[in-house]
Amino acid sequence: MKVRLLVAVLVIFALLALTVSPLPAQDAPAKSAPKTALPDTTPSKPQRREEYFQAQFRDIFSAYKKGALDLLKGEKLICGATLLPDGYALTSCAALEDEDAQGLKLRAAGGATVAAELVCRHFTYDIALLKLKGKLEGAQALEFGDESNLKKGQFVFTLAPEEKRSRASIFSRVPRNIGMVSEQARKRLKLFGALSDDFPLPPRAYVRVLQHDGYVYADMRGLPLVDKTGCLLGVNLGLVLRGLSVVTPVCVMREVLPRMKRNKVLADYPHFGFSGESMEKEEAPETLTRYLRDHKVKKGCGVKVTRVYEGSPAGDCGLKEGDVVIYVGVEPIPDLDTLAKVHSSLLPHMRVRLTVFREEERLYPRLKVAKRPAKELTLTLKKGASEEDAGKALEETKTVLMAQPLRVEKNGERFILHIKSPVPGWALKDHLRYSKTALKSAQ
Amino acid sequence: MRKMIAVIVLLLIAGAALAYDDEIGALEGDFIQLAKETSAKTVGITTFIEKMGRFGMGSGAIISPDGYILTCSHVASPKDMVVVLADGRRFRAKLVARCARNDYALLKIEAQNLPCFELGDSSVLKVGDWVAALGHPGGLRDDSDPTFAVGKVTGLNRKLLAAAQIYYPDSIRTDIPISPGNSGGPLVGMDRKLIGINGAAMPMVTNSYSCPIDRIKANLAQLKEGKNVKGEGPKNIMEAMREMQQELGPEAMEKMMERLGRGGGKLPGQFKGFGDSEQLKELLRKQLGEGDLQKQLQKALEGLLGRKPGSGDGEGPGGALPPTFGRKPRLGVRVEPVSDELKEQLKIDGGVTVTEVLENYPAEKAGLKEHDVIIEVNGKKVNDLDEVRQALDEVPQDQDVKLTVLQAGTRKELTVKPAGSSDEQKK
Repeated sequence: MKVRLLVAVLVIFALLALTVSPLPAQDAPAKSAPKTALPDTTPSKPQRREEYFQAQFRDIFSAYKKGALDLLKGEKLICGATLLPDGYALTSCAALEDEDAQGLKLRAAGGATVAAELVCRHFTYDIALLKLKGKLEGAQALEFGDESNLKKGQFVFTLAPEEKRSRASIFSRVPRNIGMVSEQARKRLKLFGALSDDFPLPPRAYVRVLQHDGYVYADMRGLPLVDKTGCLLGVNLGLVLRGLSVVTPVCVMREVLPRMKRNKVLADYPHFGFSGESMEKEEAPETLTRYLRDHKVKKGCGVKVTRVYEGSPAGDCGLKEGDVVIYVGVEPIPDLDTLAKVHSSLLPHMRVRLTVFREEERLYPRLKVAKRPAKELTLTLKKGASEEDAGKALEETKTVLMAQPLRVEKNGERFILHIKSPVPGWALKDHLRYSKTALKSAQ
Repeated sequence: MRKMIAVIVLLLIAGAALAYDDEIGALEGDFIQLAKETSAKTVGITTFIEKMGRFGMGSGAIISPDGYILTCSHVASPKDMVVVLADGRRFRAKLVARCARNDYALLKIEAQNLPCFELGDSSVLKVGDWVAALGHPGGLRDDSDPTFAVGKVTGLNRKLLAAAQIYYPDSIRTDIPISPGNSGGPLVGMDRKLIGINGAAMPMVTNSYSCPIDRIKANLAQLKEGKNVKGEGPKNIMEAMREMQQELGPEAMEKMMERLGRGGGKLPGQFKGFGDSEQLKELLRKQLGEGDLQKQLQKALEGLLGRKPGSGDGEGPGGALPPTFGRKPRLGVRVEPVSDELKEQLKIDGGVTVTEVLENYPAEKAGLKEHDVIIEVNGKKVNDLDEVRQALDEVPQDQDVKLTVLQAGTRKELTVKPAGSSDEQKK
């Protein structure tokens, strides 16, 4: 009996395979087509890709929309969110940045809402974790899929609670790094480097993302990206450029969610591993000034490397004392300030090509940015902060900044905290924004 | 026996449910295959832009195994060009020849056995055909794998004056989402053949324009010899504007008129190269009467639109302009009447809320900010945009305007200086 059943199964599959039709042939080209182009025709059926996709994938949108949520603040729609198991949801970190995390609500397909609380933000991967304060009718968490098998040209789907906001798009590629996108660029679509116009340098880059050619508008950030079986591939972060939307993949989510749930580890900061000083015009060799002039770098002559730390990315890529750094990627580096700005806009795991002058010769070492190690940081509290405030602040740096407290001192009326943290001073406000410390300055 | 039938029925149902609709499943398979084959034939190009002093990035299509590459003319440059293959190999590229006017160019790298595109036939394209574009939107960054995007042909033989001296006489219009960086990249048909070179895209609507391969094929021999091709331009500026109106729609034309109004005597980029032609001046004079070129172009655009633009109070998609077009805006703001709630909250009985302060306009310079409430203009109470305009009209163009505003709850007097001498760089 079993053998006969097995045979029957095989026969049926073979039949099925034969009945799948090949790609419907495009209308065969007319043999005598004139060389001048055909006139524009007004088509009667939908002829734009969006309309076609909406019609074709209606079933998929309606079947899986339960995993997609809207994030509201009061009555205002901020962006989307992806429902996770165990009463959590993920959304875009950037979408929340201008909002203080009070009065957040999640809304499911069907209209039911539930209050939500911000647990943790991850600045590197641009996701924020929310906890649902109760059950949400009409919502169902999506199963985690496997994005490692995605192929260019494959259909992927962005789900929204309302089907009409859902979108289909083509998986474009897995970039090694997508470059740096300014927070404001989400609206203005400017990019760091050659395509930016002297825009204030951005604080965020994308390292591990998926890329698809759909439109992920501002209110679609945080919505889930799924494959045709409704398995989660990632969380949409936003539109970088037309045809270039980025998604934090599930592999990243699997890696960071446990830590995010415990409200630990928010970001990784960049580390080069060399010290430098602005190059003086008088010291600059002729070939360097000529090169800079040809490339229209007006102010400054680059940054001279004064020290390379062993085992650091700079050391590994062959940078030496005395080298003059003049470009990081395609950004000219006239002085140390610019280098600091550019440096702060990079992320660990990124690879940048430096342009360096060494004794009249031009070199292009490739530097792989590392994670910033913990360094000593001084936090100065505002005047009038009490001893209790100082204690609370110290506690918060431990949990929020993963800092190791060193000592507390009092200078006149101000409390000064010395801690060791991998978070640099200039980035503190990103983290302490919601942790409400009485901070005056951080160095 | 019954069990077997049940299983068979279940399998058939399962089979049907698992399969995509045949058409879409097969289409996806084709896309995947297309992406695989064409990625290797697409390159990235970095060049150094002399004028701006920085690097630019575009894409290209390999058309011969020994390294001939097609790209856009506006991507190519005679020196400092580096071509990056999909596998990461970099080559110094030489510009063989170009057709600057119709925006295509031929490059050469020294290589062998490169995977390359077969040139297709753009004359057999139909509206609704699926096409794909590959390239490097946003630039190359650190990796070299091109991006793949698809869309449908939405128009053929489109005429468009895309930029200064760049005219597409017969472009293929598609709705593939592409961006800066995609320029010069291949437009591929489902038969894997090269049918165009992508050159321009309109951000507002999803319209992308590509130079058809037939045009390039007709001139390829000449390009290979190293001779630049003159190319085809628009018949005259009136035609060019009419074509632009058709392609771009009234919103874009409004922006054009705004630029004409603000340009202070300079023609917006697109019209460069037309402005000094005697024939053109003659034509405009015949059609529109006497006047300087600037005003005549403005009039022509107004004629195309059928009305005076800028009538919007800043509301709706059409009102994306400073409120007083034609003469230089006095303030450079968008306002709306103060809501009743706000009136109660601020204890005022009138005024307008500033919803946008336009960059580089006098109001911005005077310190006016979004969300400010303007109560009086030069001592006159105002309640909506019209009243603001009326109040402004009473002040001579070259005099200061005093605004009484509520800024963050405090009452302030701001002095708005006339736009003019202290004018900044144009955008």
